[in-house]
Amino acid sequence: MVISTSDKKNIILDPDFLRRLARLKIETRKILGGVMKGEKRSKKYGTSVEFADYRDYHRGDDLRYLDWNIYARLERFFLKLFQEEEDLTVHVLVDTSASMQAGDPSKAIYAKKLAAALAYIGLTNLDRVSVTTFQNDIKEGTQLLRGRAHLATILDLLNKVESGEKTDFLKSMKSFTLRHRSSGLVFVVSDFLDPVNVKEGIKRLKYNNNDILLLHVLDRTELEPDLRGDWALTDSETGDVVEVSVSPRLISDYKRRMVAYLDDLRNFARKLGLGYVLTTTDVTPEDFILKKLVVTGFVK
Amino acid sequence: MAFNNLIALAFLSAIPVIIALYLLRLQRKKKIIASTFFWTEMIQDLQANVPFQKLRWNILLFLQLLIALAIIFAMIDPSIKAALNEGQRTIFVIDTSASMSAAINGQTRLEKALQDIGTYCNALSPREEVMLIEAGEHAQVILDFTDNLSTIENTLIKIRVQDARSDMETAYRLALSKAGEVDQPKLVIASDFSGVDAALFADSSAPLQFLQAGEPGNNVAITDFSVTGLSDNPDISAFNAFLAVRNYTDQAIRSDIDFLVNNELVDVRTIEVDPGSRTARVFNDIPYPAVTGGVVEVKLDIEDDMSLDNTAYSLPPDNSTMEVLIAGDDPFLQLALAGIPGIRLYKIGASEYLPGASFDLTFFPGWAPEELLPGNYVFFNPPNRDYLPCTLSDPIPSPQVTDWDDGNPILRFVNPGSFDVFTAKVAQPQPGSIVLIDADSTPLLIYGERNYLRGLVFPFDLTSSDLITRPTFPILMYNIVSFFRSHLESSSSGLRTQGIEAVRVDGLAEKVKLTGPDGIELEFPIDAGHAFVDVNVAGVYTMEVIGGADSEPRTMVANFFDEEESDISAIAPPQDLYGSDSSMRFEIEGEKHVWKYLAAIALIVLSGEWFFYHRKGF
Repeated sequence: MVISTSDKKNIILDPDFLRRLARLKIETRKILGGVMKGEKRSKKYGTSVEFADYRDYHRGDDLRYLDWNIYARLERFFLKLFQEEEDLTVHVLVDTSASMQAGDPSKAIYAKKLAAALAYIGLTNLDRVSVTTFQNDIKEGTQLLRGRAHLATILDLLNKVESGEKTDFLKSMKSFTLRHRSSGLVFVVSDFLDPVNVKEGIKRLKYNNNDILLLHVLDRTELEPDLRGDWALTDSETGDVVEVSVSPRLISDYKRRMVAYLDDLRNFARKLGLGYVLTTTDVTPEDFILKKLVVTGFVK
Repeated sequence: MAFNNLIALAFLSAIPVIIALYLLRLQRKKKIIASTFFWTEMIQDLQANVPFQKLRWNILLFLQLLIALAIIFAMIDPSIKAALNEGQRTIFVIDTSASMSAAINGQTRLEKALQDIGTYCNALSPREEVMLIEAGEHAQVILDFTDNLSTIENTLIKIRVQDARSDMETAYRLALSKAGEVDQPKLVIASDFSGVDAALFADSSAPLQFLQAGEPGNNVAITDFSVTGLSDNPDISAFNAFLAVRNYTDQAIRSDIDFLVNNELVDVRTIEVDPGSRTARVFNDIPYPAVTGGVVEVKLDIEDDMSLDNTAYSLPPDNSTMEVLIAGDDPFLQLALAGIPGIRLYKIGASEYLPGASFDLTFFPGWAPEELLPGNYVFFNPPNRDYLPCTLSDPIPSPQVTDWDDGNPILRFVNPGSFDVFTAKVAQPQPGSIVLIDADSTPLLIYGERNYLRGLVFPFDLTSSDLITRPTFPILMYNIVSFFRSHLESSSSGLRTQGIEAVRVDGLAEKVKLTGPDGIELEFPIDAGHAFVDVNVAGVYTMEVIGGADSEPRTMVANFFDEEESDISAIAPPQDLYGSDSSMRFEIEGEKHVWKYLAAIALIVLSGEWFFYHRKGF
């Protein structure tokens, strides 16, 4: 496992990836702000609805909202989007603590990419999207944004934030819920390597009746350590040093504990009715979102 | 323990290097990881489940130090004292002479020697073998080279003291011969070294050590016994006996003497002997059961350290005809002997005499042959001969008799003061000889016995004295004949445990068979009408002549009379024989180098350390 000395590498979303992301929608499984659970969201269009934006026409869209004028000029179909008061509020919480520096690419880079991608999906669908980073507390964050044009803002934020602090998940969640009292869909992108506070933090997040999806990001070597021999392992957040002489038996024990922890977290999430998905940084963000995340139902 | 290569201690400097390397080994590779949470949990569990986790780390260091120390210690080449001589051929020459029966504190000298040999054999080195040679009357190999402890023990158990002097020289030469046939020989002489000539071992071609057995002891011994004849009292059935006793102690002794006939006590007499002296007495009128007859046995009723020579045997009074020869020309002698009853007198010229002629008694007037076989002889004015009980030098005139042993049967009723000697050679008695008549300048009658050659020497010619004119002359001759009759070999009744005895038998006989004490059975061939018998246990024997006309079993007795062997008052320790070189002494110790075992320990520990370190996944 490699700890990146810095994650100053800028997050770049591939245009093709963006195009595919634009086809997706974020869905919530819960009743949020009056919207019925399980009811397919649709945008309310009418004269009382404020025009918000265009998007490319996709097969199946309501033809009443095609902009024929643009078609006449450009011979391309574009769909009009209108703002609605009950639009989905999407919050993306990104863990940027020191532990997220691990890996190559670092988990932080990966998490930021995921966060940017999720934000783009929401922005494209005129959801109200905020992106907030946290470490030992809430750090940088955006206000609720709507529309694709705000992707740059989000990217700037994510590129600006540097990892480094220790994780305090509970405190971070407390701070977030205080700032965002209305319920919404919350994506938490983290390595959740704060076993002491994770569950309490998650519970705290649920207080506002949020629909929560936990995106658990780990480096492959965190699941399957490739260490052999004598090591002095230093905790990236606490600085604590553990001296180990790694043996096959020890590796086996580590894996067993890791699996138990992941199972415990997964079961906890299930009990609370939360979504949980695990990914490793050797799975590209594209594959994760387009293949794995859509299975959760949170993205379609 | 000895250390034979101390310079290897310099390698102890490797110890701090090992410790330093060990500490350096503990410098682990560093790595920053996202979280040590799980690793910390595991280590805590490990420490909780294995309380001695830290100790395991220390054990590794300890094992490595142990390996280093074992190797360094091996390089010092330590050796320990042990009875280990790898590949050696050890030859034990075991003295089984009569003196080895001397017992101090309940253990005989031979038992002590065998015990020490047994102890040595119990700790034989790898490929070491042992040979046993018995130095008895005859030297023989009783066990060839072997490392089989059971066989060695069984052989040692069977070794017995012989009632005879040991032929140490032959045994030693035999041992040297055997040593020359093997690699890495070592000779060990187990003996009390009594009467051993130190020069014998001077030419050893093999490493030689001495196992001294026994301590000086006190002994009173019967050195001669014979029934001299029937009592002069015709009204009783009794016999007269001659007994010689020697006191080897430093105190005068007074002892009862038990006379037994056929194991029944018939009489008890008393004898007194001064310290360091020999006393000879004639005991008269000892009752003898004429009807039953039987062997006469005499016992000293005394407690000493050697009981072997406290008993003697003699045959009953015997009036059989004695074969007497005069080899030479002396009419007076012939006249005196002719009148003695119970003898058959023969006369030949000096030039006709051949040694080996089997007569019971031979007189040599004025001469003596160069060599003689064991037998009874009387010499008048003989030349010097090695076998004589004295040495003779130039004659002197008119020696005057000053003393005589009137207790000796030869001088019974003889008055030595009644005759004059005009010329006599100066006689110097040999050690062990008895002066029967002493004069102012030379003894005039000496008796001695050497190698069963019994000789009575008159150092003067009969014609150089007026003895032949005195009435005492025929009495003296009669006494002489009677005295030697008790030592007759013609009747072949009296044997000695030392040497080979020629027993006259029927010339047509094939062999003789002797049955002796404790059921001993011996057979001997016959040659020229004589059976050459060799017994080495004192006691009563029955001889059967196989073949021939003489079928009647004959009773015989064998006695141990050896004044030198009975002297157990002193032991010559080997260092006295060889100066102060105590390394000649036999020590049940050697030096064994143990570096191989230390190297093996190091290898085992190294294997264990590898197993713990690599396999157990340190």
